[in-house]
Amino acid sequence: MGVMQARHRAALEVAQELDQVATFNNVVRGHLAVILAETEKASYDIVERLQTIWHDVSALSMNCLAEAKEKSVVSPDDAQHQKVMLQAVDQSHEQLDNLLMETMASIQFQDVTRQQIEAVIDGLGRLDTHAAMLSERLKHMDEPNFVFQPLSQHLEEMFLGYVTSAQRSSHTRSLNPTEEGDEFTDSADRPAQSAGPRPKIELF
Amino acid sequence: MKTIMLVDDSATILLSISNILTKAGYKVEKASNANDGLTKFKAKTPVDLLITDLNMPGMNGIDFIKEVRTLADYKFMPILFLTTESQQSKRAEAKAAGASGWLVKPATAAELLDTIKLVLR
Repeated sequence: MGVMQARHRAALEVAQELDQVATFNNVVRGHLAVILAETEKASYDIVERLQTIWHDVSALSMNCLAEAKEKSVVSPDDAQHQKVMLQAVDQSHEQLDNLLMETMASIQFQDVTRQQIEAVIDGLGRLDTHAAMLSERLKHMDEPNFVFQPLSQHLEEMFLGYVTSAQRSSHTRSLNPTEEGDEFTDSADRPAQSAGPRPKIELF
Repeated sequence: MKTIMLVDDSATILLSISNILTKAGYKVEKASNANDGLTKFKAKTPVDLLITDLNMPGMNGIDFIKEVRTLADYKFMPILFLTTESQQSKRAEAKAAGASGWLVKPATAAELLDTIKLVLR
C-alpha cells in the first residue's frame, strides 16, 4: 500500500469516528435534558410545598392570636402576660414570613442554572457541527476550496450568547487561566475594556 | 392594592415571585411569555407595575416592553427587568425601550420589594 493510500485510509477512519461525535453528544445532551427537567420540577415542587407551609403557618398564627385575644383577662398581670405573648407570636410570625420569602426568592438559582446548562447544550451542538465539518474535510482531502468555520469563531459566538456574568467570567478564565475573572465583567465590554463592575440593581 | 404584572417563561419563577409579591400585599397578574402579557395589556388589565424577564422564547423582553409602551394606558407605567442578564449593553437597550430599572437574578426578596417600593413611589 502506498503512503498516499495509507493516509487516505487513515483520514477516512478519522472521518468515520468524527461522524460519531453527534451520536456521543446526543447522549450527553439527553443527560442534560433530564437534569433540566428534573431540577425544574423539583424546584417547582419545593415552591409549592413552601407555599403550603406558608399558608398553614399563617393560618395557625392567626388562630393563636385570635384565641389569645378572646381569653378573658382577670388581672393586670394577666393583661401584661397576654400582651407579651401576643407580641411574641406576632414577632415570630413576621420572622417566619421573612424567612419563607427569602427561601422562595432563592429558588431563582434554578433559572440561572437552567440558562447555564442551555449554554452547554448549545456548545455541544457547535461541537457536532464542527466535527461534521472536519469529517467532510477529511473525506474530501483533495478539495482545494474547502471553507470551514474555525472553532475560535464558535467560541466567540458562544461568548456573545451568554446571559450571566458567571458564564463570561468562566469562559474568560478558561481561555486565559492566568487572568482573574471578574464576576460582573460584561461581555460586550470584553475584560480588557471593562468599564468596571455592574450593580446588581439599577434604576434608570 | 397595587397590581403587578409578572412575565417570565419559568413556571417556578412565576410561582415563587408571585408568592412573595402577594405576601407583600400586591395583587399579581401572571403571564408565561411576552405574547400572553401583551394580550392582557391590550385587554386593558389594570396594572401599576410590570416586572418582566429578558430572555424568553418568542418575543424577548425588550421587544415586549416596546410594544407595551405603544399602548396609551401604559406609557408611564414603571417597568422592571428581573433577569439573569447583567450585560451593560442590554441594560442600555432596556432603558432606551422605556424600562425603569434592572434587577439581576437571583435577587433577594428584600432587594425585590425595596426596588418595587422605590419605583411605585
